Amino acid sequence: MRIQHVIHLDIDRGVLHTWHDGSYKPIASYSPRSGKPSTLLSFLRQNGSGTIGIIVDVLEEEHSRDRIARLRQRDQKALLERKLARTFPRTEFSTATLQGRSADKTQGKDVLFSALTTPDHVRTLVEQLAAAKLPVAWVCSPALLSLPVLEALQAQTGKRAAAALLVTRDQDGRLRVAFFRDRKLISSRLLRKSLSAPPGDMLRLLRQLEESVRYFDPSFIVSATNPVDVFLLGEPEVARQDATAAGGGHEGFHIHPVDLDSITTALGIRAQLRPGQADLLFLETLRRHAPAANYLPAGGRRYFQLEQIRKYARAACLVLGSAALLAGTWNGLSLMDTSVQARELANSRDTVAAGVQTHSEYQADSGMDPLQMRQVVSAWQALVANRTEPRAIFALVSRAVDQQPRLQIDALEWSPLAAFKPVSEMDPEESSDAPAATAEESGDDTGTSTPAVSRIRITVRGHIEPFERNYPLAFAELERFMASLRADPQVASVNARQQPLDIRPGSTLTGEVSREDKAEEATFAIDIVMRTGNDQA
Amino acid sequence: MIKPDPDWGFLRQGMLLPAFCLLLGAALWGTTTIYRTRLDNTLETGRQELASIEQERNELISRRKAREQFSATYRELTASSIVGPDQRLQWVQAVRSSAASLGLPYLRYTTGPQEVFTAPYLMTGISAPVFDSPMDLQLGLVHEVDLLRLLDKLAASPGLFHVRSCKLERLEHNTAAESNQANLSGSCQLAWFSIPSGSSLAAANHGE
Repeated sequence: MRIQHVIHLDIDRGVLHTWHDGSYKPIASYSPRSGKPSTLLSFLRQNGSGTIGIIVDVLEEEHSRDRIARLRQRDQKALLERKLARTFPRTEFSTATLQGRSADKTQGKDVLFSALTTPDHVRTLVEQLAAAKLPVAWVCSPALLSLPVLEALQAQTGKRAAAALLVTRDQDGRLRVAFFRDRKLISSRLLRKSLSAPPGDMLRLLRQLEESVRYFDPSFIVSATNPVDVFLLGEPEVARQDATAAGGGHEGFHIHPVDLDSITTALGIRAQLRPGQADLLFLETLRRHAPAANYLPAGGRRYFQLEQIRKYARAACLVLGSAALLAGTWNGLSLMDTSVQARELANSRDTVAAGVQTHSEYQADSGMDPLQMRQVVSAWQALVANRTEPRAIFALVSRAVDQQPRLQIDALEWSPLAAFKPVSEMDPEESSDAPAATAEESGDDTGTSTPAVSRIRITVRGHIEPFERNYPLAFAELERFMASLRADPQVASVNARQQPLDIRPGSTLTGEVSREDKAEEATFAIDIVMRTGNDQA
Repeated sequence: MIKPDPDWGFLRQGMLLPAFCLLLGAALWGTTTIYRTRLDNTLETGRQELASIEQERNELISRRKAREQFSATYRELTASSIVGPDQRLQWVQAVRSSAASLGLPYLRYTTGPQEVFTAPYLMTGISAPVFDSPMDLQLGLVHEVDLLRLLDKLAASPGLFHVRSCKLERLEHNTAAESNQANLSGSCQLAWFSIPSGSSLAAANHGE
């Protein structure tokens, strides 16, 4: 969270700092004892937006440590509220900070209860800000902002004793001492200007540090085996030299004077701070690090929360509005494209409709439905293409008979075979005989995948004359007759139904040879399957 | 429970422009969406209409081409009595006249009732329905060529027929053929075809 304005409220005055050009600049001030913060309010009203934080640097800040059992979050919250109210019953500017598990391995968590015990000035300030509807996010003290500073100092100096004191001096010369153990804030106090050891007075400073440690934690005894790192922050150059020369002066206190420039660099603070401006260091720290706790009661955060709601609502409105505008623009572009398409479609429809009108008028004048005409003509063409030509049958038989003049035809008969589907890859030997048999046996005339073909079965009956009782010759004549028929491309198959003698191995053959001149005939009957129409050899 | 007490006046401050932006965007988006939906629907309806009209046009073009291609043949078929009702009077008369002119020793004929003719090469939807009237002929022939002549004469007369089957048999094969009496007996089955026209064709198509 970026704090735009910080009000630094100490004993004597409140100063408004505002963020500008990478650091906080003092803008206005007022005296809490003698007046209201009207100048601050008027500036904040005029310069509107921005979250406000308040750093309270007063004597009346107290800390109290306790330990609570490990509880569920809801119970823990209720317990902390009860303990906090019991510890600091007379102020609403109080807070409880959980500091994690206890260091001595006992069950429970360490808690630091902190409060501004006499918050009259800060209460007045917060009420005035709330009345002016200005969003206040934080009320904290330098002590609550000390931990990041201490960590930076420890990282910079490489000193990591179990206990540490952070000693700072404000612009009025007051000393603030914050005591840490195991990187947990134990307590803090601000010394009055009259009591604070002046810069360079190391003996007095050490005495005050001893008193402070006893005040913070009476059980903690500073010694050579239990040392305390003392970070003397922002002292004038002469005082730092004195401290260095003194070498600590106490076997338990390890004094480390640190100038403000080095710590501001370590914390990423761009402001140039002079010795004695350590209080401004905490202002800058507030911009970059959240305080350990917030003294501001829930009621005082109301306008900050409303400001947050307003900020997110504004962002949501802008994002949604922009998205809607973009979508609307996209829709508009699509509308233009669709309109063009609609116009082209209307033109096409008009053109096609005009064509339909022309064709309809022609159709209306023409009587018979042309599609029915086509069906009629197709039927006629199919009938003509598939008719049997007796002349072709006669010609076929005549050509074969002319080559065998002893064959006499007694009867000629033909009839159509049932249509069948031709098998193109059939064995040539089988293909000459199979179609007739297939057609006769199956009678399949329903095929539609390939065009069905029709064939004619011709039966020729006759005899051989003159016969001269020479059966082998008669058989030879008949075979030649059949061979000449098979040679004709129109013939699909030729089978002898009856031969002059039944010479099949499985048959019984009888005959008679006598002196009587009995008339004997060599008769035969042949079945021919002839292709017609679309049936190609 | 503490009732929340929002400060609406505070919340409204600075919200005018974002709210106006939101309202403007929503209005623009909503309006254009409504118009776009309507126009899309109109366009889709137009496309369907165009497709329907194009289909109608294609059908008309197809009919026109069919008319140009088949009308002459159709007229010829109508003139030759192939298209139209059963013409058995003409067919019987043609048989009788042909037999008389050829001097056939005898010819007996029998006609059967007309029936629907089915064949694999007549495909439904492509070919019109065809009716056939069977006619059996019992013939006495001097020579087998008489049969061909008879069929040629019948083919020249109005109508279309198929010779379904035929059987010719020599009557006395040990004697020499005589020129004025039947040397061959014949039995043939003919099928005379007729294709219904106009409304009767439409009725026949619907009846399939």
